[in-house]
Amino acid sequence: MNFLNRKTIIIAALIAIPIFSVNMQERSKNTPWILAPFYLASSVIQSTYATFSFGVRSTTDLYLNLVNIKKENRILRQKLAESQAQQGANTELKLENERLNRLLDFRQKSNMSLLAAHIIGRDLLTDYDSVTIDRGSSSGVKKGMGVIAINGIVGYAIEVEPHTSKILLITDRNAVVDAIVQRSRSRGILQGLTEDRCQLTLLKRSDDVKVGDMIITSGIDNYFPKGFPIGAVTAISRDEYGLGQNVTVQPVVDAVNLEEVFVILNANYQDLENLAEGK
Amino acid sequence: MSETGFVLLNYLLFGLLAETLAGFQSSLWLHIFGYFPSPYVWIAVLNYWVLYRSIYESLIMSYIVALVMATMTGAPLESVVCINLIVWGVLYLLRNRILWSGPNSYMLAAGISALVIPIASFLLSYFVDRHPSTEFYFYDWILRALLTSAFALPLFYLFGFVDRLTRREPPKDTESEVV
Repeated sequence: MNFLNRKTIIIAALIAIPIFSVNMQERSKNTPWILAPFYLASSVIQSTYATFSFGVRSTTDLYLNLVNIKKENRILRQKLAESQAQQGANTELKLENERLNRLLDFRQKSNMSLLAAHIIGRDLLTDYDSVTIDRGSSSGVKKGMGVIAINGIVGYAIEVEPHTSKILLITDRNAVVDAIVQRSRSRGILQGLTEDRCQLTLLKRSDDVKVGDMIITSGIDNYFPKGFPIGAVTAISRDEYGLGQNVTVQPVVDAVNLEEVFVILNANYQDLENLAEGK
Repeated sequence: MSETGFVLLNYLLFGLLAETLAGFQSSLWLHIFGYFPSPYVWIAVLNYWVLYRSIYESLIMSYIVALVMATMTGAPLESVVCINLIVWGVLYLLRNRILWSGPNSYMLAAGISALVIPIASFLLSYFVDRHPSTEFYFYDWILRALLTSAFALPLFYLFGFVDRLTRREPPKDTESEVV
């Protein structure tokens, strides 16, 4: 009897695998209801951890800065180079100030409606590239909205909870973004490939692409502004008899070093190429 | 509290532990160590249930852990469930053949699970996904397994404590007995 029960369970589990897998090709548009309480719990826990770690980091930084200042003071007395040491102590603040100024400047210059957000979590699995940000539907974030950094696009929102959102990075193999080659205006679809590379697909064999070409957003869906950098072409290969070409793209944004991002609440059909040219 | 109450409390506490551990990996680790490979600490909950609970209970926990995980990964829920079921299957096969009671074996099981997760994810994407995974990160794979194994030791005692708290018999500390 015990054997039969075990067998039933094992068979049920094995049946469950293909049933779940059937739908794996298509990501469902709505979050399953069963996940709702788990999303709520995750939001609370990730936000708590993030707040805690920000606190710990600032305390640690403060301590480390104090240690540095003490060391520098000793050197100062020895070398009487007060001004140099002061510069060293201010470097971190200066860098942070510069970074925040750039963010502010970018936000002010842009026509877009942007929402600043902090990255508070990363993906649990190595094979997938997603991050969690500390802004959700209560701040106006909606599913599909684009997420950018100052220098290029980062990804887009795939799950939105009241206070957090899950962002699929463009390097995730399930991520797709409409893109064009800046120089030749050839159009394709950018897909994630590995954690630091993407590929531009659906390009015709005759399309003009060269190594070093900049790939930019098409802005066609208003999720991203037109002409915003995505990455640079690093390799091109053509199969002997194929119709297309394989174009590898290195994203301009390195997600590993990101701390703050912008969610595009409304791109306002902004054309950044025209903006840069002063049109 | 009634017997059923303690059982439900046990499930609830382990569910919360899975959530907390997943949050630790996703959020706290990121803020302290950045993108340095993190241990799969959440798998410790599943390991514990596969090794020291009945087959029914461990299956239920594999689904609970999958629901927790799905909120912190870009992978679809279906993939996450499949990965957890593969880990569950591998550990269940090993449970009656290789693993013994005690923290050392538990650490070994955690290491094995951490080795199985990327393989399961990679193979699953290869056979099922429209855009299969193309790279396998070898050093990341090894490092995560070692870290997961190391983190499993304190968690073994923590889980034992939760078991005692909810009036369930925790696993034995000795290595000599077959489970």
